[in-house]
Amino acid sequence: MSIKSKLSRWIDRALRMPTCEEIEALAYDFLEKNLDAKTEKRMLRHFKLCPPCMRFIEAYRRTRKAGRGLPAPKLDPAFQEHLMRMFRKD
Amino acid sequence: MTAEPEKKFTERGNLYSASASKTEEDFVLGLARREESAFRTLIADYSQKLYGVAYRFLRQEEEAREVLQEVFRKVIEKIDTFKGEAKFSTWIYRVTVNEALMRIRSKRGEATVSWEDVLPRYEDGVAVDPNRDWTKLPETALLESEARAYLKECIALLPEDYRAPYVLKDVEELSENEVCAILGLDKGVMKVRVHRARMFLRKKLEEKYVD
Ligand SMILES: [Zn+2]
Repeated sequence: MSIKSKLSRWIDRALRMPTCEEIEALAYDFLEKNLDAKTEKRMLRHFKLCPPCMRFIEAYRRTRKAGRGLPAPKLDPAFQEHLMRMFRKD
Repeated sequence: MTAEPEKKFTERGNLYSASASKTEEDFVLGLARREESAFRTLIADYSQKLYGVAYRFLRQEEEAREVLQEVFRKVIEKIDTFKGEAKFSTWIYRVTVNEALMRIRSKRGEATVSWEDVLPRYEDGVAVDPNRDWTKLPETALLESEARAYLKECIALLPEDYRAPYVLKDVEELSENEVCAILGLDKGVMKVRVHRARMFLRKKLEEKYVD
C-alpha cells in the first residue's frame, strides 16, 4: 500500500462520522455535555450532512427541556406546620 | 467565611449552609438532638421538593402528603442510624423514592412500554424513519400548561424503572451521580433508562404536537 493510500485511510478513520444509529446512542451524552471535543465535533458534522439526525436531536433536546422543573402542586403551609408538630410531639 | 456560602445562606434562608460537609454534619446532629431549628430547616429545604417527587410518582396529592409524612417520620426515627456515608440529601431522596415506589407497587399494575414502537429503526446504521421537524413548533409550546399536563400523563405511563431515573434526572435536575446514588444504579444503566424515557416522551409529544 502506498503512503498516499495509507494516509488517506488514516484520514478517513480519523474523520469517520458516526452512523445515525451511533448518533442516537450518543444523544444522551451529547446533551449532557459528557462527550470529548473530538466526538462532539464528529456529531456536529454528521448533523450538518444528515437532516433526519438534525431533526432527531432537535426533538430530543426539546423533549428534555420540556421535562425540566415540571411544576408540582404547592405544599400547603398548614401541612408543613403539621409536620413540625409531628416533630415536637416526638 | 467566604462570600459564596454566605450568599447561599441568605438564599436558602436557613440556619445551616449545606455548602460544607461540616455544616451538614451540624445539621444532622441538630436533627438527632431534636433541635427545633434543625427541623425547621429540614421542612424549609426539603418538604416542597420531596412532595414534588412523591407527587410525580403517584400523581395524587393526598398520597404524596402521606409519603412525605412517612419520610419525615422515618427521619425522626432513623437519624441516629444515618452514618454520613451518603449525603443527607441523597439519603432522604432515597427514602422518599422507595416509599413512593412501594405504594405504586402495592396498588397498581406495572406499566409497560413497547420499546419497539418507541425506538427508531436503522438499516446498516442509517435511520429508516425520517424524523418529524420540530422547528415548526414554537420553542415555548411545550412549556405551556396544557402541554405540561399532557407530559405529566405520559410520564405516568413509563414503567417505574424508567420513570424514577427520568424524574430525578430531567425533572428534578439532579446530577448523574446523585441519581445513581439515590436509585443504586450504575451510571450506564441510569443513562440508558433516562434516554429511553426521553425517547418514549419524544414519541408521545411528537404524535400530539408535531405534524
Ligand atoms: Zn444521521
